[in-house]
Amino acid sequence: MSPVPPRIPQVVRRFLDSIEHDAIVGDLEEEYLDFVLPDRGVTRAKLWFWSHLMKSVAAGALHGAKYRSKRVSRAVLSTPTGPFGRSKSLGEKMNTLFKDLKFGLRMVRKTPGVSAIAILAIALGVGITTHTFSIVYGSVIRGLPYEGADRLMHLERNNLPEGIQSMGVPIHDYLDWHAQQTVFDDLAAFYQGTVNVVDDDGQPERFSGGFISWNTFRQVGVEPLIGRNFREGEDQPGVPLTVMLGHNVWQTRYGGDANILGKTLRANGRTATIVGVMPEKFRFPFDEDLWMPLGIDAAQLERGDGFFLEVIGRLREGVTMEEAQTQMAGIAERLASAFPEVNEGVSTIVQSYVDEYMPPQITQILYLMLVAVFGVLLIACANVANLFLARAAGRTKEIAVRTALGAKRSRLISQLLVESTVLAVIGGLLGIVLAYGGITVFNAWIIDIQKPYWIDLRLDTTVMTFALIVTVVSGLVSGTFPAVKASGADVNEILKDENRGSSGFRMGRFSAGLVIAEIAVSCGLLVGAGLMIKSVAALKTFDLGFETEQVFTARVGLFDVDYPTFEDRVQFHDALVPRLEALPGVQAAALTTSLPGSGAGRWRFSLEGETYAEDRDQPQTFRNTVTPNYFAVFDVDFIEGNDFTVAHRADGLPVVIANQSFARRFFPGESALGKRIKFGASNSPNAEWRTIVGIVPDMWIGGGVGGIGVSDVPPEQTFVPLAQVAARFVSMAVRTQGPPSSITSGVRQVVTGLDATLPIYNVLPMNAVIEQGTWSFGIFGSLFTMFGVIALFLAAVGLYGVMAFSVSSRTTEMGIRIALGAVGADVMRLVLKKGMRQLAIGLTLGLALGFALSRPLGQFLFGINPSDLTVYAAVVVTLAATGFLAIVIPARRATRVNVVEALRPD
Amino acid sequence: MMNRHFLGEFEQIVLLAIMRLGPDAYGVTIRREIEARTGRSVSLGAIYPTLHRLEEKGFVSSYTGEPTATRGGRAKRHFLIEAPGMAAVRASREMIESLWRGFETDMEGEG
Repeated sequence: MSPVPPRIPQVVRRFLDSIEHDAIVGDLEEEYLDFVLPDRGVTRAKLWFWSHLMKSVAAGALHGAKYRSKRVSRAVLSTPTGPFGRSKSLGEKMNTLFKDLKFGLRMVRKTPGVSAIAILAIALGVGITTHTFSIVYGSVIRGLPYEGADRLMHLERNNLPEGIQSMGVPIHDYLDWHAQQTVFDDLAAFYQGTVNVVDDDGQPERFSGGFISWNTFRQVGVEPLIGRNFREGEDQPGVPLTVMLGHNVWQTRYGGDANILGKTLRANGRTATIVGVMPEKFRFPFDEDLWMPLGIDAAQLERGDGFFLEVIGRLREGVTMEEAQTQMAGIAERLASAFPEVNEGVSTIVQSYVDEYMPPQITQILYLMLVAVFGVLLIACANVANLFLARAAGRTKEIAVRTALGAKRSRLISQLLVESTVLAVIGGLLGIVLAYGGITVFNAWIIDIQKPYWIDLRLDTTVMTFALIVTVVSGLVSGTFPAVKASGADVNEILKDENRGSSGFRMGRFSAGLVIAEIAVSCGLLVGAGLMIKSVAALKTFDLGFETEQVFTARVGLFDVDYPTFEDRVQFHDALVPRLEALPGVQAAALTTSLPGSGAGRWRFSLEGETYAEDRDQPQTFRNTVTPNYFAVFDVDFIEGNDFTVAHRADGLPVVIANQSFARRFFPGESALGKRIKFGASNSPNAEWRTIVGIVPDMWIGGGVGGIGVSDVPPEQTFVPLAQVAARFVSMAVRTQGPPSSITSGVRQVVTGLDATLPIYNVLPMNAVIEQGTWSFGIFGSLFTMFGVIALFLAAVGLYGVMAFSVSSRTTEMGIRIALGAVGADVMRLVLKKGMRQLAIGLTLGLALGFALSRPLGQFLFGINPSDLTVYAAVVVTLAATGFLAIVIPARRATRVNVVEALRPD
Repeated sequence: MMNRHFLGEFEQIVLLAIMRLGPDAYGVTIRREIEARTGRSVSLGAIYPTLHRLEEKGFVSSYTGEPTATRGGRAKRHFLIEAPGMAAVRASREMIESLWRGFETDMEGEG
């Protein structure tokens, strides 16, 4: 492969001299390929390339501005003007601005230390704000990338009298809604499910599919890339089956075959004709690979039975969401009175489509993050403002002289503002680079997390605009007060008194207030960060209650077409387990509906001997379905009783195993063994009384979105034998001697040996399952830690800067004090006192802020209390120590004041 | 106007490089010529604004050349020295030489 020059990001290109863009890029690439690369090798050649590119960008930006301003001024000057002359032309204004810019740049170079700190502060502030905003914008604000997508609504139901916040829509309700509503263009329905694909060539493969009503994509507003949409009637039962492929499936499984239309494949055991391929990146409704028609036969179902569907519709032109909600509520009421046995208490929820798929907790923490980073930005601005105040104080005389010579105050202010904006822009550009890096890293972190397909985190035009606005506003915010203050000083006072050239300008209360605010905000952020760090640590050392090393897991699903009866499925499971156990290197194998750590179904149940007036009075517990040896695979020993045996089948004794929390809560002070419980509604005729045959220690159940809110999950859990339930989708859990991945192909052969059309999927070692179940803690923990560390750094720098300035401006005073007999310790105490007071006030306010911030953070914490005292204590100690250092270093300098030097006039 | 013919040091360097290169003067060759002759590292970012300035003053002219593969299909921007440019370089040289006159022997003696 011939070498290629590094790719220049679009962002950078925009800053290149627009007039000579092609010539410059061409020159760079030519010289890189023809000369530098052969001479210096790849790494050094790349360095050369980027350094030259950056220099060209800088020169191009300056040159471009100058060039344009000249052209403008010429244009304006050549315009004829009226007899009364003209006010200052645009060109002149531009020239003034350009002079200020030049002056600003000169000041940046003249005080490199101050400038570097200010630029770094703004870069960190803008970088972190842009980074976080791009996350928030990409996940919750931008939404679906289709025209008018904000009118796309998601409809579902709730039953508040029963305490159900959200539930799907049975087919009958959907059909009635569809027939009665007039507020949407149309309603469409779908559900998500597994699609196992087999065809003549290639392995069986498992995809996640959308089962959709024929008009679904019309409501979404997206056309197929090739072929056609489903047609009216194709979503009815009993018609020839059709399928639409996602772009990815088309490319990877069929190599982008242009003649794909009309070919057939076997999906979930039925032959389907491919009628269309959807465009790239279209994975509606959540993250789907392909689509099949809904195909539900409402006539065959009792009202209220069948799959719960999700319903979408586009609001009609001119109809508001409230109007739609009102009409849907009316329809729900009519259905409730017509079918009280299934629809009583049921109402409808109409909300924006995107909101439905973003868990509210995630939205909440994202906005919380945005608040946190604006805190960091605030600290950065306060820092820069303080630095400017300090520098302005040093320039008091210069400014006074200029005022005396007739400079207008507005002119001085605008010049000082241009200066701070120049710094902010340099910092802002650096910040954008930081944000770009941050987003790249963040995208790599979340690559394995299941998320809605439209989430796309990048620095697009909106994010860049945001970054620029933030940059300019920070420049103005941090520059305004110092500029007003510096330009407004009393000229007479300053010019009269030689010695007070700098000390006459007092930093005053504003500066002290800034420092206090900096400490307070960083203290608040550090409390959040500390809680997050401790929570991640708690997660690392948390006892899950089971062994996760050397356990292979994968999922397999059986479909009604091939496995219509209970017995068919039991037979398959019965055949599968011994074959897994016979694989070389396997110690034990089991099947389960849900792996530990990935949640479980929640069931109502009755205790024998108790009566319940209403179903909602029944207690609830998690219920998992397992085969014998499940506990052996996870190295869990029984506390009481025994494991299930092969005798616990559909025709045997109905049994259940309970965990310790269950036994303690429902059978306190006695043994739960031999007691009986019944799952489901208390009057359900089909449910059977199950005898408790074993008690096991609690195993971590997990669940939630990446573990969010998992601390609130109740610990009671029960297990029933798979042979008495015959679930359709199960996970295999296999304890291995070697690395779990070593048996993947063996397991695949076992499964295809039993049924050549069955794919295995979600192949993961058990510790990866746990990681997936807890990703939120790691990610949000890292982010908050980063915010905290940056805040701490900025606050320390800010405090140091202010103290150092205050000491240096009081050199004369110190000299007098020492000359009058004060010793080092006295001077030290004097300087320390002021700093420590600010530190103490800041910390007090900060703790209160941290306490307020920790409330909404609670559900993102694992295994610790948001009021955890050790965290608050650690934050206070860290900040106090850092702050103390930042105060002491300048204070020590004060004790070493050379009296002769200090008292010598300027 | 005297000012019109006065060249900055870097402008002189760039003009001389263009003169040496003749018809082959464009971004890459100009940059490399300067680096090779003066031992000074210069960037394209510094050269292009100077070239613009020289072109505005009428010292050089430019035209778009042919695109090549190693340039990713982008055209070269060729620069040619014009008569006023020649005059300006000459004037600068004469000015410097007149200032040096009389020193040569001393300097050589030291060297």
